[in-house]
Amino acid sequence: MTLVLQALVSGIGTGAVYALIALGISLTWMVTRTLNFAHGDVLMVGVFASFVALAFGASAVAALVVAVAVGALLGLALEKSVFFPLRKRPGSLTWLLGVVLFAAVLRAAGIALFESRSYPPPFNFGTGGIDLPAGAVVPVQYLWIAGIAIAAAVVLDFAMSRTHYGRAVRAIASSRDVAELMGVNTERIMAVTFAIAAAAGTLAGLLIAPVTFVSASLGWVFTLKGFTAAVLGGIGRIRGALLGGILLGIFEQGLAALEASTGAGWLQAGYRDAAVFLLLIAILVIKPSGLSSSRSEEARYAA
Amino acid sequence: MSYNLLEVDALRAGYLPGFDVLRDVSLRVDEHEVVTILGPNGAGKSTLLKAIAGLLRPRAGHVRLQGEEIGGLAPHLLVPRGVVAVPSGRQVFTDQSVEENLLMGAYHYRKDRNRVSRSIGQAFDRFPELNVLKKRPAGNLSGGQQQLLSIARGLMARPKLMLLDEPTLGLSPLAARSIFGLIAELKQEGVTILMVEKLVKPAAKVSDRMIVMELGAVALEGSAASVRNDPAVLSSYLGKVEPGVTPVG
Amino acid sequence: MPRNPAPLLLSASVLGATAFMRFHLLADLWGTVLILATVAVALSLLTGLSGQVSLGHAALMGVGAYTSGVLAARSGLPIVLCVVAGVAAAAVAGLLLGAPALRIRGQFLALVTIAGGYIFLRVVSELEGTGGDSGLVDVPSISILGTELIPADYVWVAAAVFCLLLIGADNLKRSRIGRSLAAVKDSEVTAAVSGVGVFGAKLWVFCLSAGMCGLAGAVFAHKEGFLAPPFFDLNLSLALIAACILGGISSPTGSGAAAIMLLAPPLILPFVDRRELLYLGPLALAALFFMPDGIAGVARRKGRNGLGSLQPNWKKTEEKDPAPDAHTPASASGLLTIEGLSKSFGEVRALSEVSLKVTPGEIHALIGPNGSGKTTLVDCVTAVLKPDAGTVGIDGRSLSGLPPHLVAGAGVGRTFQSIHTMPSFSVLELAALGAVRESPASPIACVLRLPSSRAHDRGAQRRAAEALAAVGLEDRSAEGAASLSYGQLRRLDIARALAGEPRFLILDEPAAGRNEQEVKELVQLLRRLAACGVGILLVDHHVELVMSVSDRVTVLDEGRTIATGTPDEVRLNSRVVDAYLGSPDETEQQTR
Repeated sequence: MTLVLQALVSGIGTGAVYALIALGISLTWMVTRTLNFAHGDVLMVGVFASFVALAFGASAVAALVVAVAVGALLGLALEKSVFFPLRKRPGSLTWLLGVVLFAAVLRAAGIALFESRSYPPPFNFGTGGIDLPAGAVVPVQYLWIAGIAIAAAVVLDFAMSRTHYGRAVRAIASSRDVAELMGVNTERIMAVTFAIAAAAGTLAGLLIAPVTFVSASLGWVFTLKGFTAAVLGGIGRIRGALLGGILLGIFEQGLAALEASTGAGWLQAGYRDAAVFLLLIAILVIKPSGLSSSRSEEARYAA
Repeated sequence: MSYNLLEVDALRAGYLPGFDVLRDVSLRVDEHEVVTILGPNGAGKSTLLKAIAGLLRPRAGHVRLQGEEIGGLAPHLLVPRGVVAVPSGRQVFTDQSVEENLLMGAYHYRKDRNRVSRSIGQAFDRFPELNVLKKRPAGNLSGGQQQLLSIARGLMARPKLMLLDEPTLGLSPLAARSIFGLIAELKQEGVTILMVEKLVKPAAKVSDRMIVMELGAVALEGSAASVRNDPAVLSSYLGKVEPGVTPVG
Repeated sequence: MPRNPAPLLLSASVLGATAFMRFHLLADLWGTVLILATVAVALSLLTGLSGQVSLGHAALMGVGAYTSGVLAARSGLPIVLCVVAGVAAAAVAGLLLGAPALRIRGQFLALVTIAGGYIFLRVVSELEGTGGDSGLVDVPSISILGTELIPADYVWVAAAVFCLLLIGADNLKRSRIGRSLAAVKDSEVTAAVSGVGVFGAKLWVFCLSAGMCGLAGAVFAHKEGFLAPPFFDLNLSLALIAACILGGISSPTGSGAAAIMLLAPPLILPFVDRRELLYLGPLALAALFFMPDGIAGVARRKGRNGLGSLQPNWKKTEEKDPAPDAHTPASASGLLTIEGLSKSFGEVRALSEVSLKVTPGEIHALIGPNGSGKTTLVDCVTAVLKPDAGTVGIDGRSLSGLPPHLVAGAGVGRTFQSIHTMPSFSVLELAALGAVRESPASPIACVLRLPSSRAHDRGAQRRAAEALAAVGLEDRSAEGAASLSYGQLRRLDIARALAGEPRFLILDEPAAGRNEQEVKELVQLLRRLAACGVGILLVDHHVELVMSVSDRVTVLDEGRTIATGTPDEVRLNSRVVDAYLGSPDETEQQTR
């Protein structure tokens, strides 16, 4: 019982972070119908920017602002310099190769500059815990992580449903041509969306750093987990991304709790990641549109 | 010097390199006029509307709005100038509510909140059946309602020139009739409309002039009544009928 | 067809260079480079030729390496068997990674390959039998005739593997199968209606490419004697992709050469190790923008377009008008019957219970206003779409439920209303694609370029040349298929369908983009085909064409047959007139 409760709380904590990453992936999917394979590496550069800022004596808040700004700019650069120009090329997957290479360069640069060591988190939320009934202890940092991530996700969700920008994004998702005919500058919305997605991702990276530590070579893992969460909830659905992220977090932490209680060797950390990605493949194959969508939409995902 | 509202001059455009769907199109639309474009499939009617609305870049020729060149401008620059297109096939934003769809029509003046809410109010006054459905996702509406919404959304943009692409495509006769009714109403109010329509006879009733396109060029042009009764219209669809033979049922 | 000299030249250079690799360190390095270059060739075959992006090729190599290495170290089986097992295991892994192609493709399949590669690494790191994170030591070396190979000997093994697989891959690319795979890459639907089993082809090439990686990996394992998981991570997959892009990913030779040149530095220079993407990445990105066909594209002879599999035979084009009996179908009896075909998209009923028959030698036109369901009907007949109800049959044999390539195989050819550009092909090769099912050579024959493969090529070439002559494109044979104008592309599409010598030909708007003279030529072609006994279903809205050439006309409106008869009957039918112009009902009603 104690374990279940703890797994649930930490699952929601990490899950909220995954949700924030998945949100970015879903957003760029909505305006471009493409998966952003560079998402995790972009956000990792943002996180490393906070180290640099801190090393120059910036305050924690300033470092956070720097990190998010760097992430957003990098997202913008990805869209403007690689994605958009290559998207128009013949050869249906040229853009994919371009985005993958962009990610690879970021990763190689990160490894060259910061080695592939793990770094201590840029921010810390303390190590205290709150006692719950039944002897469970909830680490305070998970509450912070979950709180901030969920707050950010709610802000984004609000922006998508209530602002002109959000309506424009959803209009483009429905039909780019018709959105254009309504006077939407779709190119600009696409660029802005890449920036917002990268900013949200960077925030997620900063939040999860205290739990996982970060290293330059981990960007891909975040990309894959973000994809898993996004696909789990149905990619291109804002609330689906939230749901998928939380479910993924609970799934992971649940496996960890199971290992802790049973000592089962096949649940070690390495296998847990393998299980997550097996889940990703399974969803892609069995129901590519995720948990929350109609059958008629599935054809779209086959393309 | 006064200008036609819309002036298309020797327009050439197409999708694939080396093939012009529009070979040489010239036409004029005056203010407060309703003009219908007819013609067989593949004549370039929808392509013409796309080229005027900015979705397709002209390869040669001119498009002028009140004498000002607008050829090659992107739609987001044209909509604020009053060129508003309603695409064919009831393309509403299916995931968004009826009200949100209407708000998209007001996108170019989105910062003027008063104006937006005034327009929304007017739209719901005019289309009470949309008011009832305003929180519904547009994807759940019937075909006729979607077409109505699509036109209402276009009207939200306050068009000087409205481009309607096959507004009755795929609608039941009843729904088609109500769309023609709406077009007649808009005409009374002085909205300028250039539309593509395949139903010649009902379209003739609401149009001032009609233009027949064939193979990417204007083949015939005249008052609605004269074009409607011109046998050349039918033969452009079905080939020439031998003289002396009358249609049988 | 002359053999392509590029892979032979590269092989000769590799073998020549190998002779100089005597020093231990250098030989060791050279062997590794050649093994990686072999994987690059495999990747080029998969990603460059069939268009399926794999970001997991390093892992597939790892599967071969670990399988062979672990078996040899732990079981004591003969090493040859271990290597075979490594190849088989990698091929199976390739099947597993490729199988999702049944449901997903493109970016999602690429995602599956990354995830699959990651899973492999995690599992290998955690297992005990593989040595886990600390690596697998003491992998025994290969013995040939009782002598155990020393590390320096492996240059020859690696060079032999590289050269053989390179030449095989190049042969494959230029064969019938290469054309099938390139068609799958450019347009799956065109491939399918030309007779290519799309899913089978995709899976097959995935399996083959993975098996090649497995062989490279197994050689690597026994050469190194030591395996560690990080070697096979995403980094290597990306470096391989980058090298392939720089070399020209659709060229096995270019990819292999680029891998040899570009992947050596990280192996020699410690400060480059694991940072190779710092130079490979930007270079490859720049190549995507400025040199999309890579080094191979730059080195290619001017005027050589397409896959380089078929070259026009200039001497033979003297006969102006191909003999009409060139298209005599095998049997001129039987009917194409379409009965009760219905299809809905969501709530829109695109087709309701449409029936019609096409007899051999008949030209049957299908007309109707925009959105009346003509193309949907064509798609349902050719199995591009699955009808909700109704049957399609030839000679009483039902075609319902067959995949599109088997419908094509049964003798139904078609063209498309909207052109799919096929940039991988030359004009001649694309026309030859239509004949892909004619006396097909086996995959092995294609890899080894056996006489049966060459015989197929000759047959396909002859038919393609005839078909091109029939549509007046014979003098464009050598050009790239993407360089044609719109009207020519449409004619090329007809030639592709003709090369399959169909018994029934469905033409979707063949007159679009033709001027008057060209329409006249089309009329002549249709009449000639009909005279040979081909049954033609003609969808078009070029009125003069339809009315002058058809024996019968069926009119669709809103998915229903509203009239059928001779052109004159149809033209005077009041329901048809109403369908085009609006019904009197709508006219008489006062709208306001």
